Amino acid sequence: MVRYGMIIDLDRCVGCGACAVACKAENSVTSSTPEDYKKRRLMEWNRVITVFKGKYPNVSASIMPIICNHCENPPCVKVCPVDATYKTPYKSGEAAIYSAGEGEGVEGGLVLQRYERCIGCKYCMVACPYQQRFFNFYEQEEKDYHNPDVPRRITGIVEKCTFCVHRLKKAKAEGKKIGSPDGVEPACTEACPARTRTFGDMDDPESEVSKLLRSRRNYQLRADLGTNPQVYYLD
Amino acid sequence: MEYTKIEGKSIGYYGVILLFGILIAVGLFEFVKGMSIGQEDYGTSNIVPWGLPITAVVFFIGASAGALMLSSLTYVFGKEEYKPVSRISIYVAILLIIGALSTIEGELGRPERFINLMVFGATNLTSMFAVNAFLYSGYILLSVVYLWTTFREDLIRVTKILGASAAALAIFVHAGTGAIFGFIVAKELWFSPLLPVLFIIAALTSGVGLLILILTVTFRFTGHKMDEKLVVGLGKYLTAFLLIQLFFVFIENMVRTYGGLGGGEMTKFLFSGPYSFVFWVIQILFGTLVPIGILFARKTVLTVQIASLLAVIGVFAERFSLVIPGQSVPPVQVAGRAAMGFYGEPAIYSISGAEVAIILGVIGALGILYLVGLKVIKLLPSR
Repeated sequence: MVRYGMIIDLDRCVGCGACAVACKAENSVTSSTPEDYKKRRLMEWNRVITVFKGKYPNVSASIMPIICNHCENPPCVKVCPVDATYKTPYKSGEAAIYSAGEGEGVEGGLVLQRYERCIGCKYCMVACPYQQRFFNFYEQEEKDYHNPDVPRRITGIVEKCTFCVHRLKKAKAEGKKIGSPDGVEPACTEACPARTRTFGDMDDPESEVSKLLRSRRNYQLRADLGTNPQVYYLD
Repeated sequence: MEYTKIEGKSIGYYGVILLFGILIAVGLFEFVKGMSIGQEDYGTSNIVPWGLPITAVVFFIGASAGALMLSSLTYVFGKEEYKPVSRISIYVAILLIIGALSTIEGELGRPERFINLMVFGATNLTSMFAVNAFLYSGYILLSVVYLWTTFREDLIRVTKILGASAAALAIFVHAGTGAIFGFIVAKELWFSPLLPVLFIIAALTSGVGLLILILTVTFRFTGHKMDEKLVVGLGKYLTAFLLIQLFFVFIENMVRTYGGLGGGEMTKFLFSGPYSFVFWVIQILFGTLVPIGILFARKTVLTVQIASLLAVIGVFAERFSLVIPGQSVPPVQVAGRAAMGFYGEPAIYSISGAEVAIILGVIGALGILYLVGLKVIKLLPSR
């Protein structure tokens, strides 16, 4: 069994936003205009927010990068009427029911989207408690520097973070190791200057993520909703 | 009881059809535009992905379910005094559910992939959309057969069985629509077991109200005389439904206020945010309390008509203040901590012309189908 997950150490995060930039570059996420900002249509597979508690002068705040949580029990997969969004199997060889889409051959419980099947009903967007799903309100511009490994998204469909599944797929094909600190990792993890993020297999007790998770106090976002996210935060 | 068609040769008839035709043209223009360049003109955002069309869909389905349940008064419960309007209410119910499906189609990001619902829907039956796709199509088929049997005097027992099962299916259809929202754990204003029940009672209110309006207008313009007793009788049902609806809305909001999940931000937004006018003034005051007052004070054809109009607007406002404010406030990410600045601010949805055009187009198509139906099918009583 393989279960990919990520650990984000908030004590290390400085809020530089390198992960957000790296994500945009790696996944060819379309750039947003000031108009999109006003209309709340930003495409941010990876966003950095600040959460706070209390009133001035008694305030405590922390910077918090948020990505798709790749939940064990994802509300978005539950509500998709056309089975466009799905979870990749935990065991290798165990195929998803129909075409496996982008995540073909990659196990690990990633929540992915079959772009060719999505009808754009936006039900997953209202179901996601983390607001990590994004709708294409207009045609994305094709740029020379776009990553050829990542499929293009057309207008009218929903897209989301993939844990850089194209990297994982490539690594698997080339027989490379997957997971921090010395294996292949998603672009955000690789780009972080403070090594805030650790990526790897949660089911392997010897992996860096498992060791880190055992050693520190951790929490998941909105664990009360029963989604069981695979992104853990250390505080 | 004898039924008749209308002649449909007057200038007025073709004038109204032309008017509806213009609405269809406007709607189609925006639909094709949205399909070719994307939904850029819509008022929706990534925070509020569902806008006015979804509100209209829920309203249409509700009115359809309500109208169909009302027809069972005659065909299932044997109340002969409602027979003049029961057949036409089945027809209206079929039209409204078709209108709801067309509005969904107009709202989808990729309308040409609509058929995927039928192809892949069965693989993910945890989705209320997939379940509803089957419920709605079954409902349309059953209603059409049910309408057909009302023309056959020899099939009166079949009509009774079909009427009862269609009314039962209508309950599930609208409870299923309520479940689209009621099952969403992420939205504090939506996640509630009461929602499917509230949807059914609101369906009855809007169904009766809309029928009273459509029927009195149709009877007036076709020169038929509408029995005052019949209208007042329907008005009595409307009063009861409005009272039950008020009670459910009260309970629902008491739970929201008392529980205060997620710091009660979403409830606060509903009660005092930018859409609080829709909730307090349109939904509660003019949509519920005023019609109840009017109906208690006096029941004549005119007062029942006014109360119906207000009740229908009130139910639409009820749907609006569920769908839009329910999404506006970004949910809390870490318990007890609020997001600072941009990401914590509620997203304000403003109604866009494109979305209104799509709804108007659907209304235009329904209007034409209704008028053609009056001309082709024997729907009106010949008195």
